[in-house]
Amino acid sequence: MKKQLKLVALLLVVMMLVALMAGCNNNDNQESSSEPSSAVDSGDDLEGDDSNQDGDADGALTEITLPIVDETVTLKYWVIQSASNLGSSMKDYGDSEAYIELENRTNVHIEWINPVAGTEKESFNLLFSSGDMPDIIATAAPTYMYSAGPEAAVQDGYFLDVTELAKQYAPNYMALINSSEQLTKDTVTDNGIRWGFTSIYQEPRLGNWGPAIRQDFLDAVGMDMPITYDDWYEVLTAFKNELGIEAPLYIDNEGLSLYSDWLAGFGVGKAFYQVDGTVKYGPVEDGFGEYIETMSKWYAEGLIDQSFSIREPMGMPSDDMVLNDKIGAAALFATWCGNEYYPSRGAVNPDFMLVGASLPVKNEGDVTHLRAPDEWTRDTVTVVSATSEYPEIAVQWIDYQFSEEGAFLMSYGVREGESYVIDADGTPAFGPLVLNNPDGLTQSEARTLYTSFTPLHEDYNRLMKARSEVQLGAMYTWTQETSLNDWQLPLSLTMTADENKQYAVIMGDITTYVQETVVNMIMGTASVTFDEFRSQLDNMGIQDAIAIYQQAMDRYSQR
Amino acid sequence: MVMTKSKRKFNFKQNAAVYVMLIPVLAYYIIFHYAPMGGLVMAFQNYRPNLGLLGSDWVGLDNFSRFFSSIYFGRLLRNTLLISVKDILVSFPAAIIFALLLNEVRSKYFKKTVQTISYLPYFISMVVICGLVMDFTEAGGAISNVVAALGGPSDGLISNPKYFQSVFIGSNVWQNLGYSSIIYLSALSAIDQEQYESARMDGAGRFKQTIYITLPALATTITVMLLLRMGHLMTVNYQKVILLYSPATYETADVISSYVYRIGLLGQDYSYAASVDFFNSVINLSILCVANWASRKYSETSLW
Amino acid sequence: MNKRTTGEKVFAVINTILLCLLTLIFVVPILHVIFASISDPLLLSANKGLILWPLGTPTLEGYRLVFINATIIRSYLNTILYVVSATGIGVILSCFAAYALSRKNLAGSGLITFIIAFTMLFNGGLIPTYMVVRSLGMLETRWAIIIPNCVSVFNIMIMRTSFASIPDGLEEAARIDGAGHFRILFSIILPVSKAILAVVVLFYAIQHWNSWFHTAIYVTSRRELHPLQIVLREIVLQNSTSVLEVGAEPGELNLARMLVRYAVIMVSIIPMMIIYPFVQKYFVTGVMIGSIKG
Repeated sequence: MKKQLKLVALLLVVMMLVALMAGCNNNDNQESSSEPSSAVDSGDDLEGDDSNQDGDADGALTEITLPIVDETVTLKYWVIQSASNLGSSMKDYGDSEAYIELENRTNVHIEWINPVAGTEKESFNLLFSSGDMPDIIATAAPTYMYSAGPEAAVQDGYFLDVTELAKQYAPNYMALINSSEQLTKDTVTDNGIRWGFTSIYQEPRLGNWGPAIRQDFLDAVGMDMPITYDDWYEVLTAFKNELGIEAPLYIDNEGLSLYSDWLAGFGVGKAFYQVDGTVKYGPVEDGFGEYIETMSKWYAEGLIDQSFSIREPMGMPSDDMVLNDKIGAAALFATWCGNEYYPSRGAVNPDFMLVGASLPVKNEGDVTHLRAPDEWTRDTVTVVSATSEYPEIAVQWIDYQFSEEGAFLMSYGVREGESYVIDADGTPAFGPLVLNNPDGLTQSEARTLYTSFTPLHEDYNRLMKARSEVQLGAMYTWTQETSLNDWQLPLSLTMTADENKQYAVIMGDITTYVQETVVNMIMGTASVTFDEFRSQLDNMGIQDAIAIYQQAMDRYSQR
Repeated sequence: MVMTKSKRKFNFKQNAAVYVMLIPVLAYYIIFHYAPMGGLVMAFQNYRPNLGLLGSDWVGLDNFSRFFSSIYFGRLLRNTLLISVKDILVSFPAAIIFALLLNEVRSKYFKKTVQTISYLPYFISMVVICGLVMDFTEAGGAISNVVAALGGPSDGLISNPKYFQSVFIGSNVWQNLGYSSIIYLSALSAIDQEQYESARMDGAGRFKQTIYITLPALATTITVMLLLRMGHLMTVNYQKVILLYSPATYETADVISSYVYRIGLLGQDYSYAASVDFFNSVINLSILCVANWASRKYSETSLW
Repeated sequence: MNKRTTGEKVFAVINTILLCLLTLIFVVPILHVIFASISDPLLLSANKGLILWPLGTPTLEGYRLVFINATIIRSYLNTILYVVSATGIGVILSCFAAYALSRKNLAGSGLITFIIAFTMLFNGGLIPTYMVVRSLGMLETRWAIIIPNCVSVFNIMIMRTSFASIPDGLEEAARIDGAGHFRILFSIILPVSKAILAVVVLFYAIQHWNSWFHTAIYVTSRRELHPLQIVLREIVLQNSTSVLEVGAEPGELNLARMLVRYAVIMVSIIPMMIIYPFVQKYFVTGVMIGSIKG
């Protein structure tokens, strides 16, 4: 036995050594590239620059001239490309005409990396530990972001600090940023570090998500559009009892909805929000308790999808449920509204009509303060990897998409009269190839094939013009005067690396706890009351998390 | 030529080939099983991938104490042990009893048929099994309906924490009963029929025969199988848990390994995850050692 | 045969009934899937219970949609590739190890056996293993699907037991003739070990056919490398039917989603079902031999 022990010890030492060597290798790979490239010297850039741009005296470009490089350069680009948008005709965005033309113009070839559906988060996280980051990455906080935050991502050597590079090589983007105080503020961290290129709409656009309800069902039970929670209760009950709808109300698998649509009427949000500069956390507020009470009552009476907790996390119902009349109401994108579902999209019911409904409130006339936001900037921020061999080229390639021609190309494609048309008032719009695709592609698929599905500098009007009256009506309903979004936390709030670490430790367990307890409370299987739930959250340190957000909020206000 | 008796040690030169054969296998185990053990040091660090194992700071036992003081510690440990123990308590007797019942069947044809059908579920992959389980136990699913008719919850079993463990173990039994019983059946067929004959002459009924002849004969097999099962007491087939659980059922479904998967791979919290995993493996090994020792002491069978 | 007492007769009847019930329990879920996969799609969507007969008019529509789907076909081919190569490598390595360890008086065999067996009891955990795979540069490649987990201690052990039980005489004769170890292994040992070889091949093949977890964490963005189980997981468990749209006409799928789901499940089970009767006897033998290794 003793001999065995000695051998085991020897073995352990051997393994440690092997592991350390493995660790060493990684170290070497990373060390050479983890030197912070934040303070970029403009002189160095020009020396190593193999692009052929003209610039002005101090080296900064005034525009992107094409092609960006003489010899084709290949950049790797990680971005989520939904399979349903790609359809059967495209393998990835590289098959899109807009991107093909972009490559022709810029001479930059893109190798697309598209994570597998259902494992996007894992795939994103693994980028950081795989030691091989793509040149360009489409991030979207908070889900698709380095756990310690963007600033830490820069300091730890993953994201390239483009503060200086942008001034040199991104004239279009910087002109856009500098034209507005809000944009200037919203696109950098508290310390003024520019860590990527925020996607920005050409004009601010209205929120395009909200509650939707089947108008034909309402007609069938002879009721009006519900306004208050009590109205909704009656309507859902009628749906269930008179029409036999399986899931009168569809909610997401956390028992909430993407933008707190069902909670806003109780004066709370589903997570962190702010009221006049004071940060709050929904689940510990009284309003949340009222929400839980209402939802659990509705659930017990069968008014809510009985399997909601095992649905997919994105919060959108499956086609099967929508088309087969299994759902009465849900929170959705505007594009889901309308009556073109029968028969072209496969609905079984000829009277199918989905319309937007205003967020439920306690009393008619109440004002709500949270909903899907109007946006000028998007949550997508395109970053350049710190280990990229072609940072200047990547930046220019990104910037071209913010130029007038570049942005137009990505929003409208190359085929005048087909992928886009010019309206009588001189503004562009989608053409027949997108709106009524002869090959049977859906609008989303055609949009992906002929233009960019989500351009970095999108002309949102292209979508607005393509929307039906019902869809536009939904958007106007959701953004009416009594439905504000002034409680939302600013999108570009950032925490310091330390705050992030602390926040992650506190919220890790809290998020899980909230998730499971909310679901269980709604389903009636919880072992705690709402008050016990609240005090448990306090025990777990939620107040500290709120304080961290408060500090970030204060810093933001002072930017 | 007279054959020399086998030597004490091999002549290395002549038998180098044997060692050459071993090289790939050993390399495989060292690389994929032992090197990761070395990586466990990250449990004692604040591991950052870009800094590697050498560059990350050391934090001693911080990760462990974070785990022990987490509100989930007790629950994870409890779920892990409960599911495993319940599984053993149900699956073991089930397999043995099934083997015993089968053994009693006179008709060879019937016996073979039942046996063959019982192995079938074993071949179906975990993913498909879980898909079927979801179908049958969600709200409105076939099994949920039956349970609801008997007074159970009307909104399905798979999202109900009270039923998760039963569904999990039930599906385990469904899939593995046939397979597990093979061993016992073969052991049963090795029992000397004469013993039964003499027992019957002495007037022992079937039941007594089972207790005094059959079970003791199976004892060794049962003990070994039990010990082997203990070998993954703490890992609980977490892959299946991951496929079947949801936040609604974390309360009874979340086990240590599924928690590690969530916070490690999904949450980027590598050191923490590694420390939890480390704890898990150590407990597993300890339990196995204790079981082995007990087995060695009280019966003659043991794994080592 | 002795005359049976009444008690025994009653017992036999009860036993038979019980076993019949059990058999039904094993078979019914599979029948459900079979019949669901050829049911009318609309009725299937609306149905909530157990399906013991095809609903409506039987149709092969689901299968048609599966076979025109390039993703599924490709993942099928991938799976075949992985199963064949992983099993091949695993079997070869296991043979070598089993042969070596079955040699009497091999210096260090105890230690080596211990090294190998110890891995069954303790391992480094998910994250460190992932790090090793990463540092080998295997992420997002086929190697990450084939190599980790291609060797199983259990299989080595049962092979070793089997090799060890081969009479010495055979080898001695060969050695006198001057055969080296490789010759002995290939010309003497393997030919007489067909049964155990079949068993080990079978065990490895099943293991690799059904594996999904490691692929899921090592290959997250190169879909074209995915085996069938991963695609199945998307379809069956995450209800993500977007994968299914490849190949189908737009709109064709909307109503048939449930149907296709069942058809895909069937398609993944059918190979096993077909091969199963043939391998069954080996299977039983294998498990029994394995139990003796104790």
